[in-house]
Amino acid sequence: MPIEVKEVSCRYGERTPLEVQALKEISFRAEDGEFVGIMGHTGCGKSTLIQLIAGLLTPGEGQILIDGKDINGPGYDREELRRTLGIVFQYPESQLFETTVWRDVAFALKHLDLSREEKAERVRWVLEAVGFRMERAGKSPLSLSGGEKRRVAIAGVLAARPRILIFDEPLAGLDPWGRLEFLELAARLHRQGNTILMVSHDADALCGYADRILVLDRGRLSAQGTPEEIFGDLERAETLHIGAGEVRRIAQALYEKGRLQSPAITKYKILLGEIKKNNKGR
Amino acid sequence: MSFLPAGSYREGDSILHKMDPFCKLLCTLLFLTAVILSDTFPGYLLGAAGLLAVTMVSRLGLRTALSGVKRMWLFFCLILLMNTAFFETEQTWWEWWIFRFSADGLIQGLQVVLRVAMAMVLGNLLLSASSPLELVGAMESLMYPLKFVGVPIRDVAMILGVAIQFIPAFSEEAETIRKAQTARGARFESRKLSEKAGSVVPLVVPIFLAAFRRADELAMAMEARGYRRTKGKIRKRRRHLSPADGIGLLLCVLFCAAEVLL
Amino acid sequence: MKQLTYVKKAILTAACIALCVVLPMAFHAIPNAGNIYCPMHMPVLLCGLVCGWPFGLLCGVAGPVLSSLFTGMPSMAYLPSMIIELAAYGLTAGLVMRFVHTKKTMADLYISLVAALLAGRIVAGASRALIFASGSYSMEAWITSYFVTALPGLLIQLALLPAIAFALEKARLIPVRYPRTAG
Repeated sequence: MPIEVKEVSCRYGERTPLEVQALKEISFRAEDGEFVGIMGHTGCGKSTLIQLIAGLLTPGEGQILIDGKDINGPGYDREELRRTLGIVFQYPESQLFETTVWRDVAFALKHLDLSREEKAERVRWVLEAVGFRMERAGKSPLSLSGGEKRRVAIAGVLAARPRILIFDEPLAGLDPWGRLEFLELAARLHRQGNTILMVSHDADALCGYADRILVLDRGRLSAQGTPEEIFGDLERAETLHIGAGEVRRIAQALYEKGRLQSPAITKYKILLGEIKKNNKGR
Repeated sequence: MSFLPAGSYREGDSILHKMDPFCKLLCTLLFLTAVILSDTFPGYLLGAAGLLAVTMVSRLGLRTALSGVKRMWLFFCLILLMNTAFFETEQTWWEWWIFRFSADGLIQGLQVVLRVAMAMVLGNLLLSASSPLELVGAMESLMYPLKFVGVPIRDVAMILGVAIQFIPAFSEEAETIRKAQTARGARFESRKLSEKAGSVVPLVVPIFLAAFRRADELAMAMEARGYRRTKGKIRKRRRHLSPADGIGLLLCVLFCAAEVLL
Repeated sequence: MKQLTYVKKAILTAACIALCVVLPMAFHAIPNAGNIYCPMHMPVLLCGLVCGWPFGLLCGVAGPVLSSLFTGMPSMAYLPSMIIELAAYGLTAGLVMRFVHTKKTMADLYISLVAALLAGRIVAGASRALIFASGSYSMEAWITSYFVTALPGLLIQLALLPAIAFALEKARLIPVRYPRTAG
């Protein structure tokens, strides 16, 4: 289910004095099963881009094709998009509303063709997948702790088993353990064959888990490549207005001190490995 | 991101735009009273002439002044019908069951329609020539006499100010919630009455929750800074009046008097 | 949460006034919504129920006025009767909640809502009749016609408002009316 964005532009507030060009001629392609990270300074259009892909906004120009079909074209079944694509917004807890956790998660299954047993099984499966304690599933989602709320909200999106998952700043407001747990969940979903698009400021997270990173700058796609390609040249990364992660910066510091052979390391495990290799017997 | 439409406010620099908002409001209320009091043909003529004069002074154009009036045509027909058919009078054209059609009723209906239309034009002129912020300030000033009946107008002013600040934030939050639920498969419309309330719950409940959450945080922050119920003297806001305000007020008073006499 | 402080009530009222402006716009996006949902009524009723009659009254007056200023809805012709209707909602809801304590929150809510909605509709119908017609027959005709067309909307308010109130209680954003004491 590849995603193709072709020459997409998007404006807000057309024909008013507040008109703003959010995106200009963006083109890229995400293959089936890829984990793509999206980075950029605040206001560069990241949220606009993912909302366009999710079909929640219409582009002024250009096309968005999922699995070869134009999602804004005539005759495209919007219901199909809802089934194949799931989007988790920033602070997704704000979408909770039902009387019990169970019901809130099952909300996405309402218009799906599943039997009652299948739905129950689905809810059970997804709550376990996000690490939610099942005995609390009868409580009101609004009375839960912040961490539990986040899990329930994400479960609510995963319940429909979408093949494409979009996460908008999913690490916002999470403590270090929560962050790790989420990234492991994302990695697991990726291993299961889903396509993941993740918007984040956290360079370490994206470098550690994404296959490719897209960089947006003031509405334009300024760079795309593997984490090593994007953060290989630190000065270039700066001109793109994105901050390098700690792993990369530590690698840089060690390289300058002569403890590493190459500075272009962005993954934590690889950094550890290289440090061990280059510093045997010290 | 959705931008809030600014109602009908249109920027400009006519005398009407520059007038002190409080005086503008007063003048509007006086003019409105005059319109309500009019009930003779020369009275209505004077009213229409007055409105035309104000429209010209404001340089807003006839279209702005009349906006919305055309859309009310159905409603006006209804008023005419109801009044023609139900007016209590001796001379009727035709009676049947509870309906009593009469010429007096028709005239009464016409008068009501005319008054409503003129009030609408007046409203359009006021709203097009003053920004929402100006008007809220004017209303706060207008509330001053309420102070003597025990209304805490300083608190009311604070509440209005906070409400205005909340509007863009809530609007954005509501947009996000709508998108998130739509992406989850929510369908907000439904045919059956029994389902209508339920289909809108995923939109309404989170919006209220988000709004109350923000209010909670703000209230806590204010309490932490020692904000309490306001007591004590209220400083009167310094107003910048110009001759235009005085002339405007005078004209409106004369207008009112004229309508009473006519 | 025990009782709401004055400041909390004031800021909640501000939030409800802001919702009077924002909710109608949010509902605009729903096709075929029509007049049935009356989105501006919800924050006012809730404000009266939660914060009491003075704040409910303020919300009922300021809500439609601000909405008219910022979005042009309701239009000038309907504004006075809307103000009267919503003011009656906020006032009545607050008063009835204050004096009715059936030991069941749901019952209190329903009684207050029904009282408020009735009072509001009657008063609004009367004010419209006064403005737009005269003579006793037309007055009654106006009131009844207004009432009958408003019935589905009333039912929706009765369904939605308790749902909102309970969600807010669960989220600990408003005090629980009858807290369950342990033991």
